[in-house]
Amino acid sequence: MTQIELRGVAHGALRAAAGSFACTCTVITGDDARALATVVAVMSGAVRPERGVVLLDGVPLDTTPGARRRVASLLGSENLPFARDVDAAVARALRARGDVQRSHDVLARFGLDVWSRRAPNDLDRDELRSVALALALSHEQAEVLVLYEPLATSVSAAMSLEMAARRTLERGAVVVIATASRAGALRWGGPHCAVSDGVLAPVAHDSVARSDGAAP
Amino acid sequence: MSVRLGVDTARDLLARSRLKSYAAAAAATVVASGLHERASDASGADRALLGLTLPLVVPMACYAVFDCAFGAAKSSLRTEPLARYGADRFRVTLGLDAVAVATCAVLAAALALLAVLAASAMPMHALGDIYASVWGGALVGAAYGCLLALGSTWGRAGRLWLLLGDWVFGSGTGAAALPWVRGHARTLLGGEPVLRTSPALATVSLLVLASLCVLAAARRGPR
Repeated sequence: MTQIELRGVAHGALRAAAGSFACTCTVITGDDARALATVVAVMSGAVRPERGVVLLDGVPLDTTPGARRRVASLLGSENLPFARDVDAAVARALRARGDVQRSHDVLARFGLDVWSRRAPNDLDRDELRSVALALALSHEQAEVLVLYEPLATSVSAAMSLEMAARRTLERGAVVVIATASRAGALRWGGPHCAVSDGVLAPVAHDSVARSDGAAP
Repeated sequence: MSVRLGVDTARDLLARSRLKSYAAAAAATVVASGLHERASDASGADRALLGLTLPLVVPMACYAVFDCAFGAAKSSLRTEPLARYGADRFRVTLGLDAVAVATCAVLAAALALLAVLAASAMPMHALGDIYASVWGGALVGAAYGCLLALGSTWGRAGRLWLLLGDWVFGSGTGAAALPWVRGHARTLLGGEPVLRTSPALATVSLLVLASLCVLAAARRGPR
């Protein structure tokens, strides 16, 4: 069973995070958007925490390329790999994770193929996050799906994110959703954890109805 | 796969940069210097190579290659968007550096060739000089490329500091010049040798320096 574990993690606005996430959907909420985005960044392997370590099935995520290939993520701030256009940048991301899908097919599935000839630098923050969300949800071998504010991209409305997350869960993957929105957290069945004053902690059982299994 | 991703990224970065303009400016400078030093024997080519081309134009051209590839940021920033999806940082960096170093080698060889052709009144009589200058230039360019690959791990400032160190310490002929490219490059192309070493030893020294620098550059940071 896949398990992602945070051991004494601290990075920037995130002062302390510890715990493990198993095969269920865990919703993390909090007022500090930077701290929430940092939780997702360290759990995706995109950022090496200043202190502590993130382990995927006991393997350090930030120093193990094979472990990072098993994670699909949407960060607070996205950057595509450098390439002449979005199609080539997505193709490079797919090659990096060993995915044989065609970049155009991935973009077309989410209605983003109209951007395929644009330069990645020309995309704004929301467009970059939309492409990254398409990349994350198209990762059919992902064992961890960790998303920061997935409902806040321009393609979110055009797809059923809940269904995509459910399909991922059915594969036995870990799903982690980070959102500052109370309504968003409720929509995903949370919140289960909260980042308060930079510290990640479980939400008290009597304050929300928890889904079983989430145990940071 | 990760090396190939680095190679493709570097090719795109260089193709979309101003490198062609910088290379043209370097070539024009070298040709002008060669014409100024033009002589009927090999002395003109020597003066053109050792006077301006090797000490100034080649290092600056190699610096321009790395500036076009990495800009002011640390070279690791170019690998992060790929590493996040599972590429190996070490191998991506090797691929990026391999393209940049090869570009430096080709550029330096071309500049050395232009310098010799422009400075020789009878180029057909200087075929030996041309051959030695081209492969010597390529080796010097590759060595500067590897030095700058290491500097790029600290960003533009790292490159500038290493070039400054090369200028200050590599210009001498004592032991302080040993770990720098400039002294061995001068020895290789017939200038004043470092610690009376031979051109053959200078070749070995440049190869060792280049290998150490590029491996250190790729090894810095996590995978």
